[in-house]
Amino acid sequence: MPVWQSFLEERSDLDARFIAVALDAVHERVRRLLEAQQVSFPVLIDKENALGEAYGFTAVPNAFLIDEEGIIRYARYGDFSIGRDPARSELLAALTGEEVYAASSMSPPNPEARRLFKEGQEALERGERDAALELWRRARDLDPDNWIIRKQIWAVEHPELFYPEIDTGWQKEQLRREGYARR
Amino acid sequence: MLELSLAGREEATALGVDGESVGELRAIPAVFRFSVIRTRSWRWGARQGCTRRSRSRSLLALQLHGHLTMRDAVDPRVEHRHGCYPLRSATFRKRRIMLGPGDPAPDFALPDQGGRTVSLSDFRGQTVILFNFSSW
Repeated sequence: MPVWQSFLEERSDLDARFIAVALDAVHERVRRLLEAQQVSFPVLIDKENALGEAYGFTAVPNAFLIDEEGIIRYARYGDFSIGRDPARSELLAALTGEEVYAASSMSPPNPEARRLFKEGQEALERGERDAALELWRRARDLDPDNWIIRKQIWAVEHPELFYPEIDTGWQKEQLRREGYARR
Repeated sequence: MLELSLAGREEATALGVDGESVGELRAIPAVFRFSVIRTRSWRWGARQGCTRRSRSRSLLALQLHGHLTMRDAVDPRVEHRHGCYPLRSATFRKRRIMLGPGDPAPDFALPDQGGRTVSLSDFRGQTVILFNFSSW
């Protein structure tokens, strides 16, 4: 978020509104992160993954540029980091009106897995953590390339590995333990 | 010669001669490595996992290589996996699964950090950068 804040301050000439959406079932964590960082843009909480369903993504971070008529002009699925190329250059080019296509290897969501994931969200809302995890594991097994499902399980089972710092070493090991192989 | 038009992120069902499904096809660039047989207006640069498109959209004839499970359009009992196989005669029924340029951006209504509900439609008339992330 601080990277976006600096980008927007640096490029205040850009005539665009920025909206960040956090995909966290345990949203208190996002609020805590935001309290530590002052930002000048809306940060929305999408705990039911409504955008994942509507736009078709199975991982974050991603970004879309939407014009004044509500039409998507640029979409990058995955690996969107405003501090780095190619994402940064792609977005800047798209903002000038250029037709930009971002390559992506993200797979779209599996409808059955999506149903189970939603049921899991509802279970967690009711405080049924074990039931939620069980539903999410079934969803994950139906849609192994869906990072939203996989990471949601990790974040709920091991919150200490995500806050205050994300333990990426553990994640690599965990993928091995889960027998994950990219198709 | 088989022709399939690709636009955005689509999936298609290949239909055999009797109209029955003979395979599912995910037409997301970077999953397939294309070798182009004949094109009109499209140019594909083939780098590992990445493709670029030229401006206009048109029909593209192609031979597909790569990770595709597809039953031979001639013999439905034969299943090919991870190999090279030309598509013979098949028609495709397509479905858009991930949104891209030219698609209307779906609206949403979500709470912000202050608890206020914010919708994409609140910003109609302005250009919007929409960024999705998570704390994990």
